[in-house]
Amino acid sequence: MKGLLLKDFYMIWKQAKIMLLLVIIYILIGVFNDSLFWTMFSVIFMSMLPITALALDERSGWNRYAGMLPYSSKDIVMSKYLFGLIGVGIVIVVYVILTVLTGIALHREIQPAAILEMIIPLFSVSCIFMGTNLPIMFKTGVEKGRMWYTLSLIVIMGSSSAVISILNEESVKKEIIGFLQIGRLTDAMLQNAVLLVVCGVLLLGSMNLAVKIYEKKDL
Amino acid sequence: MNALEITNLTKEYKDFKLDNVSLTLPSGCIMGLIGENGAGKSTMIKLIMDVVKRDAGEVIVLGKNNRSDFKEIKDHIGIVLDETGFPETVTVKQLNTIMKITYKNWDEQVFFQYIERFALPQQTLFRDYSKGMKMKLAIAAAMSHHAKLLILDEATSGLDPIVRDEILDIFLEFTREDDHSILISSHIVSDLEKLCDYIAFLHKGKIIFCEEKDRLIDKYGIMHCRKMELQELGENVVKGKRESNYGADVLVERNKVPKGKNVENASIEDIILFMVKGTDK
Repeated sequence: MKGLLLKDFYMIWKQAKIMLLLVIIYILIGVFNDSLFWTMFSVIFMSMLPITALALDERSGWNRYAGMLPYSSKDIVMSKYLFGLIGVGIVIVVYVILTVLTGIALHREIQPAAILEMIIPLFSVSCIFMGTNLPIMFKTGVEKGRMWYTLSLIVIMGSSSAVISILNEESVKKEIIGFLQIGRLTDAMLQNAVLLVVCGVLLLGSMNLAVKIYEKKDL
Repeated sequence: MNALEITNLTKEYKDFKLDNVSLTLPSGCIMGLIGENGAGKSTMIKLIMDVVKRDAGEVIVLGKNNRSDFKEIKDHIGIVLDETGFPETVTVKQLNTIMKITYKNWDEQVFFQYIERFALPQQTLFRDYSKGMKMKLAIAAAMSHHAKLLILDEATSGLDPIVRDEILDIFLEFTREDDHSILISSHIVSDLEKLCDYIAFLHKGKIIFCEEKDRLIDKYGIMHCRKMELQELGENVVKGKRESNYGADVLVERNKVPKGKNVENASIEDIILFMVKGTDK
């Protein structure tokens, strides 16, 4: 699978440099405006890396060729998920670095708790995006699946922004916590752990589905 | 051991059917798969490599079923496809690094020897290569991991005659080892005539014949005869004909022709062309 990841890296490196620059700009906009929207957007933007790689594979005929190389369908599918996760990991690292640097520059302090609080939701959004999109891309191809991922982009961005703005209202937050009785019972760590497990299950389920789709596909 | 055994292989699409194809490629031999565009050559190669799911039949490659342990077997197969399939933005060096991780037996020394032999620029992106250069790179990649079986789909198309000849020599060199075999599809009959031990002729999804090249040439001949003589020959002797106002050119089975008749040698191209007419009539 390492060969497949390396191939994706070589193939996308030129575009990735521009994407990374845009990610830095989006995160900075988000940090300076105290807006989560742009940070979310930058994570989803990088979650699209495997879809971009798939589109390029389709154009060059790599899919068929790779199927004839010593790789299994599982290797081919998993490499795309892993490629996406690496991209998301890079965005999160960039986010942390930029937030720390701007925190020092603007407020002369670092807020590790606030940064850590953001990492899991960012990661979750990328998992939802990849988990829902990749099986469809493997099934239909990127060209035909374009409508779907545009739609999912709008839905995920819209709903996560809505949820964040609702949760930012202190009164709503108190009501929800009171209703769920999670204030005392659970702490942030546990919530994050649950979120991570849900994301893991979603990704694994999505990966299994994508492998089954790919195994049945005529290349 | 046979390099390839295909039994009753069938795949049906909306408008095309690869129908009950069977053939065997013995180890150490070269088999040419000839057929017109759309005859099913590429479909057959995809079915052999299991990137297209068959409806029926069985494929054994290097002694193993292509539905079990095939990942391991693919390490011993060199592939060249009509559309090479390499990413457009990689260079030769990057391709070498990818393949080094991909194939257990990748030999970069051999790879770069081919790159030099084919005079391929190493810094140029793959997308900027000409069609011939792309094909040469694909051949270099297929030849650089000590494969036992080469599967080549239209590997000589797009190459000029001099390079084509050089590449055919490379393929001949490859089969000097007893356990090295080649399945090559092409519609350039002259290439296959020069290269192959066996010829399989695929027409509209069906195998018309699969025989040793020398046996084919021995078996069939061409007769130039008048219409009267043609009628006397009988259906079982005539395998194909080309009629004109003055007479006919006829592909015949030599041993069925009455003694004393003049039968000329037929080339593989003649045999195929006559047989297509015989099949389509």
